Amino acid sequence: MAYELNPRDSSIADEDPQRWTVRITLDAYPGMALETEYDNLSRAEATDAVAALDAEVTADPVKYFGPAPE
Amino acid sequence: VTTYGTRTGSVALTASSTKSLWLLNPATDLFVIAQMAISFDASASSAGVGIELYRVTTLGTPTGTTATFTKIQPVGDAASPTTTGLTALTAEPTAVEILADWFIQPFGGALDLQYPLGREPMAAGGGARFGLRYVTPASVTPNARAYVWFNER
Repeated sequence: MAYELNPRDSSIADEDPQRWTVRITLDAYPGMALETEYDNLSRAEATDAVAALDAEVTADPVKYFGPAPE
Repeated sequence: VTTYGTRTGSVALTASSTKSLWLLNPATDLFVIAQMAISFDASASSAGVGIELYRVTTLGTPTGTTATFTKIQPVGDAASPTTTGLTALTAEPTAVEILADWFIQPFGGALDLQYPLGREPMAAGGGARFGLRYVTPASVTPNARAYVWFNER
């Protein structure tokens, strides 16, 4: 389980809302990724959102990634 | 302008399904789709497979194999794309608008399309993603190969 959260514009202050790109990977699914974006969130809000999504993906990986590779 | 490509390799299609073969994200720079193709390997004729080129309107949480890109032209420099992508998706985008669609016969059917200059589908830098998906009827499960070449600038 790992996620990346990257701001669209790194010059914008953390407390100001902006767009974030999200990428979640799971150890059991090498070479695969879940991608999404959040709009108009501060860094703290985006961090909360990605943590919640990461927990959801980890709890039900088959929903997103399909059956685990052999 | 640099042209990059990505490909799915052979993907076994699922019957009665709508699944994306590739999804490109113009993360920073704009791109236009210059050329794309899909082909099937069924050994007998069957109902056609729908193919849809689309633009994402609501992203959701698409998931798939991380796309690897090869440079088509020019060669000899170290440029790499800012566009990212997924292939053989296991989770689809939430909502899309279809730009073009086809029926293709899975027994020998192939589509290899070059868009004319000035009429290529364009993805704005940081904007909506583009994808290609299939829509299979019941009991139709050929393998498919698809690729896309795009000009990034």
